[in-house]
Amino acid sequence: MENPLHHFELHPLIPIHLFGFDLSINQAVVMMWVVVAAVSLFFWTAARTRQLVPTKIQSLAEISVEFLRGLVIENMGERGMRFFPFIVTLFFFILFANLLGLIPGTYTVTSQIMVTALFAIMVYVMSLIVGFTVHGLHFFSILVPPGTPGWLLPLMLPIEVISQLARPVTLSVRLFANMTAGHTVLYVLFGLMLAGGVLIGWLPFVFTVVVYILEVIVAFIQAFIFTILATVYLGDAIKLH
Amino acid sequence: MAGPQDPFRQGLSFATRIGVEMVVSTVVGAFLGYLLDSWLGTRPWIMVVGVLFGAVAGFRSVYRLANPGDSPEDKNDR
Repeated sequence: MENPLHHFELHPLIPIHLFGFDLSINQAVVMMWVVVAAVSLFFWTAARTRQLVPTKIQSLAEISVEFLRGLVIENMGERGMRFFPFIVTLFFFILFANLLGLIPGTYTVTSQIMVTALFAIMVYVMSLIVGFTVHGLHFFSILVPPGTPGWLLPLMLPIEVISQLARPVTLSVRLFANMTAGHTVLYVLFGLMLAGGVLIGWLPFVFTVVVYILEVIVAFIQAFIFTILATVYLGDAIKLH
Repeated sequence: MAGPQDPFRQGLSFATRIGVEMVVSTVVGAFLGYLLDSWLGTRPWIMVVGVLFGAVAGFRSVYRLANPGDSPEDKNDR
């Protein structure tokens, strides 16, 4: 059996080298295009027949967008609605990347830490920009939780700095680790099934099916957590305590 | 739409958050200490302190996750 992490490796399909940068088109890039196309197709189909009595896909799109709207209002307030398009895009891109990656033979974009880290850093830098624009230098008080006694300050300050800096890291590592771990488990179980033959191969196969169902749920949950935390971090910057 | 209300899904999301939160906080603390050490040439003492502070920060995040209503971060995302 080959290395279970082998299928995460990227191979350039069309090598492009510009100004010393490796801009090759690999599976992940192609998969991102597919994800963007799938999301666009989903919303195009949903919005094509704008009826009062919605079609199935239309109501699915409406429910999910309504749900995300509630999330944004709750965590960021009315002022946060200007980030609403960003949040919806983030959610649907991650969700479709997770789900499409579960189809055998495709590539899971979110299993690359570069992809998830870029999203997380984007969200975090955005929250910093928002915080300093809205509150100015007063934004530094995010490092002091409300109700901290003065003598605890030298202890709380490094802890808060660490938890602030841990935010983009946790955000990216969680999505990346969940996707990588899930796919590795699926790969190993499937390999066991092939190695086991007819006699005992059915046992790993049952587990493969169970884990696959779990992975579909995880795909939703992780997209959901990433989006919630993005709204929370941006909301923290807008509201400041 | 995967609603967050289902206790199984809630538990699953809670579990993944706690694990990552604790590990990453400790690692970030250690890394900050390592950077300061390389800068000030006091290896390995600030890194030791950094690991401790990182672990405390991790525990604190988990505590905040487990106590909804304490901060806006954990009202609905458990």
